[in-house]
Amino acid sequence: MQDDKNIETEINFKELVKSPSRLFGWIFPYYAVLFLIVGIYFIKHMDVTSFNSVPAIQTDSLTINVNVEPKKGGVLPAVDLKLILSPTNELIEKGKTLFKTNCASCHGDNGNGDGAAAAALNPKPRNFHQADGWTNGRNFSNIFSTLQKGVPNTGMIAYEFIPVEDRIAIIQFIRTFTDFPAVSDEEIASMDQTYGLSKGVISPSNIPIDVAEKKIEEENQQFISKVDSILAKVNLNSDAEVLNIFNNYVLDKKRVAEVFSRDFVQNKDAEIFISKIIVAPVANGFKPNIVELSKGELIKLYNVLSKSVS
Amino acid sequence: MSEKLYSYTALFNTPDEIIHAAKVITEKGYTKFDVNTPYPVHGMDNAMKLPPSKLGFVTLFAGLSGIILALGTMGWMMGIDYPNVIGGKPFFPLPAFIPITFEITVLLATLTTVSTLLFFFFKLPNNKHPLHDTNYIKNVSSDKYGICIEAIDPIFNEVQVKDLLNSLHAFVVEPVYFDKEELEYKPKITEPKFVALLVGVAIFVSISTYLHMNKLMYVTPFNWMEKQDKSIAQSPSKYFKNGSSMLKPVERSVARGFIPYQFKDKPDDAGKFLVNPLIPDNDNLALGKNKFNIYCSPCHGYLAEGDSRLRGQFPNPPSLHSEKVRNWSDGRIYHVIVEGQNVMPSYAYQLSREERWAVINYIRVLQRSLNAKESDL
Repeated sequence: MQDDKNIETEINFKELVKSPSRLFGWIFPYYAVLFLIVGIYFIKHMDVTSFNSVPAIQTDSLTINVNVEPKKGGVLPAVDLKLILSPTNELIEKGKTLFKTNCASCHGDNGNGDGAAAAALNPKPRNFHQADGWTNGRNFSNIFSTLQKGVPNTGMIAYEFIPVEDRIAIIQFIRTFTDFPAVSDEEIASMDQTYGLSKGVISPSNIPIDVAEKKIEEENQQFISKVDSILAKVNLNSDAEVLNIFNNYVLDKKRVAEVFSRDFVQNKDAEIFISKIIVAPVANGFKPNIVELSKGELIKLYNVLSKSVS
Repeated sequence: MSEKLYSYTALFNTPDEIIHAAKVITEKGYTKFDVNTPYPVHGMDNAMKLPPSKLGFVTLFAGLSGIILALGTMGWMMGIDYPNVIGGKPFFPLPAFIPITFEITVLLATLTTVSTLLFFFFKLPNNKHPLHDTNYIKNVSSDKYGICIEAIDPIFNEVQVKDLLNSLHAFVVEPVYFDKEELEYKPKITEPKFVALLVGVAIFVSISTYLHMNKLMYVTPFNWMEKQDKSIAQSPSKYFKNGSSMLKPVERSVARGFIPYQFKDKPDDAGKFLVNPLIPDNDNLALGKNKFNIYCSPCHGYLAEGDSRLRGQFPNPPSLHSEKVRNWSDGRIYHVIVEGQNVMPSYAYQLSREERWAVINYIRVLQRSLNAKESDL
């Protein structure tokens, strides 16, 4: 019975101060609430309170709206071919900047073939300091043609989209790494002959993407709008046999008419038509069992279709 | 009068009397009344002028629902959603559906009828009826015949009803009141009895399930899905002769609807023989744009200029505006998407066939945009 303490005397604050560890039992719930409040505040204001340099929410690549400013194209002035023989310092400086932005990720800043992206590549990118093993050779014209066409089956793509003068600048910068074969006048002449360097480069015109979309849609509208008349003509032109083929071996008449009329503009060849059907009958609107038809029957089908389209 | 009247009841000695009483009361125009007898009395339906039961309509409705449900689900699944040839039968093999349809029909009809009876006609959750435990119900369930006119009858008048019943020579006429406690009682969800019942049911169900399964059937009741009766791809299996649980498809077999890509390592043939089946229109250009921006733009850039967002961490991807790509046919570009090229991997698993062609259509738009014709300006 002595253990039955009065509840009033249970919380004795003087006792509490004497053994502070008991305070913890009371402080704990307050800390829990405090942590909760701080946590909620932190999550709600994450973009302000966190020290991350990367935003908590990444921009959705689908919401980015990129468009093209309309621009009239024209002919750029011809390239000064003297730059190939005797590069100016400015040109080499420009080549260095271009090399950094376009080439250094694979070839490395000093052209040792040790760029950051090189790890992923097989074969490894060219080390410009090495004299042997160049796929296209290391003459000026060879390097130029590599930039023009790329090297197939490697990470080296065609850099055709870089203006010619900039490409010359890049090559001139590469040639400062080590000794390269000297450039001869004939080499320049043959390069000029091959790539038309002195003629000047045509810079293309630009139009906004949605305009281009509309243009392409309009151009192809004819193939969609002509479908009904093509199908009507097929019925009119064909004898019983072809009509039978058309009704029994065609899955989607509309698609056949669309695809055929579009393709007929480029290819007027029965052989190719037959090969295309056999390659992907369903995608082109035919039933798979069309492959059972004989060549003669397919040619008849082609003739009726081409007659109906033209 | 603080008590709420439920009905007036009268007790009779003979079946003839009760038939007579029922006839008179029906003639007077009472509708909300009932006759209680120890056994079915012949001719009572006529005397009370009872209409035929409406329960049959419920049964009909449930039965028809059963037929439609069974035929509809089976027909939709086997004929439309996943057409499957089984034993050379048509996609809608009606004779095969008949047994299941019959069973579902009978099951639904009977269950619905019984539950309608219980819940709508007998008002099941209400298990306290005012007539319970009255002198009247004790008599009519032994040897007397009783009639009970409810207070909710539209022409009910206490004095008139009392007189009427007395005039029929009933030997006892007495009112029945609603249980006062019942009327004043307001059910609560936290009622200790109710909560205790729930807890009790939970405990009983779990313990009995455990005992039944573990002690009677020797089954682990719930093992958090640690043990599953399935074979994992790499695990051994006794079922097949070669001892492996994963089987490769039979050689040269082709999955339904999937034509293998025929132009592996033949890019030029792909360019020549593959036709883009999608004519560019709003829909497939939107699809192409969406897929291009997701799968292609990280490397090729939003305008396909090769200005990748991964530049510096990844070899430079080519621009798609070079003369070479512009002059490629759609099939040739398709080949690159399917097979990959140089550093670019195959996107055959990320993009469906239609999506690949749609992406190509969108690439054509971008090419047109950056290499516009004179007439476009």
